[in-house]
Amino acid sequence: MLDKLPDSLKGVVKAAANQLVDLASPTTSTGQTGQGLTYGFLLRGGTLSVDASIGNGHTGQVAANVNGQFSGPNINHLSFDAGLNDPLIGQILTISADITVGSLSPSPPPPPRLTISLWQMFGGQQRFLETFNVDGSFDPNNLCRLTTPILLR
Amino acid sequence: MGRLAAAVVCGPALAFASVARAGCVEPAMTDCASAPPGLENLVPDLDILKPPSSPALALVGGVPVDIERPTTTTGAAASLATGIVHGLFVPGTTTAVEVTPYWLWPHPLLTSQDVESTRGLSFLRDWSFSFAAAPGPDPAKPAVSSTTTLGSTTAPQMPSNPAALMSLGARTTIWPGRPSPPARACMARIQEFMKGDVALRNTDEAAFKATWTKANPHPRRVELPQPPPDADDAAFAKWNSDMAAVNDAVDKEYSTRYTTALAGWEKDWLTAHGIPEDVAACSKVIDHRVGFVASIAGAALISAPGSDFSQFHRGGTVGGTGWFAAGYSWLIGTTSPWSLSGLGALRVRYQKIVDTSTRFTAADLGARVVAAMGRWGFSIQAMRLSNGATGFGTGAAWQGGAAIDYHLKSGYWITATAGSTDLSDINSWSTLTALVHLQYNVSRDRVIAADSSAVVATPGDAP
Repeated sequence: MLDKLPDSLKGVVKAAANQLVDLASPTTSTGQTGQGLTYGFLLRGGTLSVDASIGNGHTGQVAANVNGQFSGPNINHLSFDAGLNDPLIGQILTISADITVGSLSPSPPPPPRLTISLWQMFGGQQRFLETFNVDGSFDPNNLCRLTTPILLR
Repeated sequence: MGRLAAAVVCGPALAFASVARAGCVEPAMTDCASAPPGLENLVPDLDILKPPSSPALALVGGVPVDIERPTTTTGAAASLATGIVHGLFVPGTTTAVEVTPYWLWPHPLLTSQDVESTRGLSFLRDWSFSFAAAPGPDPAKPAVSSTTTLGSTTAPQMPSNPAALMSLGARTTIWPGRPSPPARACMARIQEFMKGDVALRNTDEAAFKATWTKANPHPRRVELPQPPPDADDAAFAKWNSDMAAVNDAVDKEYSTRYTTALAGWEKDWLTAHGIPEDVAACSKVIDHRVGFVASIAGAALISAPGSDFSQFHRGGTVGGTGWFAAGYSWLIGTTSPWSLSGLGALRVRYQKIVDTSTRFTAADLGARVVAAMGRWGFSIQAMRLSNGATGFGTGAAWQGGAAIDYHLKSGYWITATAGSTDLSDINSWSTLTALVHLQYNVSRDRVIAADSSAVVATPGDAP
């Protein structure tokens, strides 16, 4: 069904550049994004679903905003509506996360990693768009606070 | 014959349940009264029998801060290969590598809750391999004894006969215990803080973004002249490609500008919104565990006389050491909790000079009970050390001791220790030691709370 939509409804979701998620946060060491273009249907209608996994045995909270919409704080799931007259294309999706070590981790604990997966929800169907990994590092209080922008286009 | 050995007050000092063991030997510490030679071996220290964090390094006697911990499969292979080659062909090089295979691959879906609900898998997750190579004393030759004596006891000296030592070890957790009530309470407090912190930062960032994008609107899409309708497919393909390239460049430039601005904003925001003291204190407590805990480790060692592995069959040694420790911790009460813990440890040692019948087997064991409340800690322990473990000749020894700690402030304790060592094969029936320390210690081994009203956990005697 999705493939039958006219091209005019298709948008492109892409991490703009490596340095886009490589913020100069004191607790963010390096950032890596997925590469290449991923076609989505974010122009009119549908929902942008964001799964933010704080793995490696850690735990935390994530929140995000785009185009005036807020979602979270939550442990791992966020979503945004792409209204018929309020498209998300060209907007900057910004994800904020706080991560702390779990109560049981090897010594030294593995570094915090935020895995962000973007999904398109449209017409009752779900379509995977792209995944990004953002690595951080813990501060002396075992906390990693990072902010990651992703340009939707 | 019993004797009172010493009473000193100084910086990092000896205590049988602590990790600080430097003694007053550094030049900067010359104002402290030096411990008599060999005294550290008379102070019972059960920690020497617990599985070390890096078994290989423990056998060759390297410095823990030198451990290399690769986090990728490629890095692990390269580090191990380099270390082994250096150990074999460049004797005298100190190398230490520790690899935890499970964590060489990312586990993006493995949350802390998952880890806690599958404690049986900690055996797999905590499994680590260690490799170490370093120059050191030749295990095949006895340490040179000096004429320096402590009463009737011959004190050990730095051995001569240098050799190249190389060791491969492994370690894991058998059972990790469970988070204590204070640890769970602290995790809930940290979650609450993170939730509020993220929500506030998200809101403030959106306001910053709105202001910035208003002043810096996204550039309009660049439109290149379209090929005429009768152009071939290649022309349209090139046009599409050129359009994508020029717009990608525009997007990248725009993103870079925003990223730079956001980074500056975030740095200021994080500085202005620091971590509350109670949250910082809680981050030190979330590892506190109670219940049954056990761990195991082992390492094999080979040595080459004269630091030359081509001479391995002319006096080289092979050997191994195994460690096992298990214990149980309780936390009793809520407002002024008591922490009780019991720990048993076993160490088995084996060594053989290659191509000879000379071999050596020994087992050392010990137990410790710790109780703590508030600023006070009490502990008693006993150890049976086989020949060679004390450094006093070849005889076996019984050691026992008791200690009282008082917590002065975060990281500082005053400790009183009394113990007895029975060196059965030396012309001294027993040696009684009594020490008083002012101690700085960052170890979590002692059951003393930090200076924070939010911290009520009392880390126990986990191996």
